[in-house]
Amino acid sequence: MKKRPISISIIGLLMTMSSLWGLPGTLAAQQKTQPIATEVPSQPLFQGAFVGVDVFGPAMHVLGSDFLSTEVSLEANLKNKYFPTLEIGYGSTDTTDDETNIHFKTSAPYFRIGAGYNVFHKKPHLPGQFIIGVRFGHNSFKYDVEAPALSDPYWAGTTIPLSYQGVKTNASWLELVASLKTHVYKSFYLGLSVRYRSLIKVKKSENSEPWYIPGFGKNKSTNLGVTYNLIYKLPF
Amino acid sequence: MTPKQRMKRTKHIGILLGVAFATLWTGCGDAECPLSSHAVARFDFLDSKTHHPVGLTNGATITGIIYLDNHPEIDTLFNQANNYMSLPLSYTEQTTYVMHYSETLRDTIELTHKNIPFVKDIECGAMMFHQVESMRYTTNVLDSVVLVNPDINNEEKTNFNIYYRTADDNE
Repeated sequence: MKKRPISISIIGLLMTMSSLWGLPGTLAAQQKTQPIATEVPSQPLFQGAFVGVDVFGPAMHVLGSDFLSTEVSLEANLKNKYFPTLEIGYGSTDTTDDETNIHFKTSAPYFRIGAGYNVFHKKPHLPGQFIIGVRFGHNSFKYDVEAPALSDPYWAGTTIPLSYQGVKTNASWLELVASLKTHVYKSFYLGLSVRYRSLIKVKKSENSEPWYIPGFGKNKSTNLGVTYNLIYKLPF
Repeated sequence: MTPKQRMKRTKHIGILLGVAFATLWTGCGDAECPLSSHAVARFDFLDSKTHHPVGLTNGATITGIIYLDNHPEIDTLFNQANNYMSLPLSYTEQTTYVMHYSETLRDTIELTHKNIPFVKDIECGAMMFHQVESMRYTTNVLDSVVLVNPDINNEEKTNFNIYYRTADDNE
């Protein structure tokens, strides 16, 4: 099993963060050149839709993560204030732990649905949005798990094999999301989101629980997640 | 604060956030393995009348027996005076414990159980859990055995209560 080096994580994230802060038209630059609007004129309800592709998941896999996860997001802009969002993705892993020699394999689609609120909706002159929101995620999938046979540590002579194929399970979770979206060029944006995930339920089988849940991450009560989206504003 | 200072502060905050977040993110990769990976059955020793804890006398020894191809495999599991004992179960379908109170006085508890291999986190390894399906026992010294919880896993909990008639009861 590949371990994620800390240096790679830090470098990758610093690059991610600095790329956003370094873009032309940041908050600081805007404050220098444009006055802050105090009154917002009446705005139309629908102000556009965005489609985004996550590149953080594939990048982390290339850098050594055991998981490969990518997703597409569809987001509507309502009054530059509310952002209903649908995210559909695909997560997979096929790994064997070096120490325990246990193999786990799964690949499955997942979806999340939710909405966000633009904290800076009264500042439409800004080149993007800072959105906080929630998501509900769910998936239903199968996995394989194989381990070396278990040997009785007290009475020698008895071993029991451990190999389960196509174990059915499902999982649901909630996410608190903070995302920053910045206009880059024409209809293109970059978006960074940080997600605090809380598992609602995961179906256990008699002999196993899934080690990895596509769209959620490792099977723990809480997880942190990141997406880095290349976003296109649809022309309608 | 001048625009230059503001930019510098923003940059510093960005770096700090990045480092803090990267640390959190990397920390999420650590496995949360249970403290104990062994499933043991816990037997509490209680007074049959008062249900208060009682201790076995010094010198009491517990041996466990399983039969492989009709040959007994015997292992000493417990030899400490205490008011409870935690014993492993075998990977066969039956485990027999013999409680030697003295050279001639003993009781036997025989458990029939289902063995449940279990894996959750591949970084923590697989574990063997058990579910007790039935039991038999002798009553030479002990009064009775009650199955409190048939699921034997790596959680600390009482699975059996063994009730003894104490000297006061016999008077």
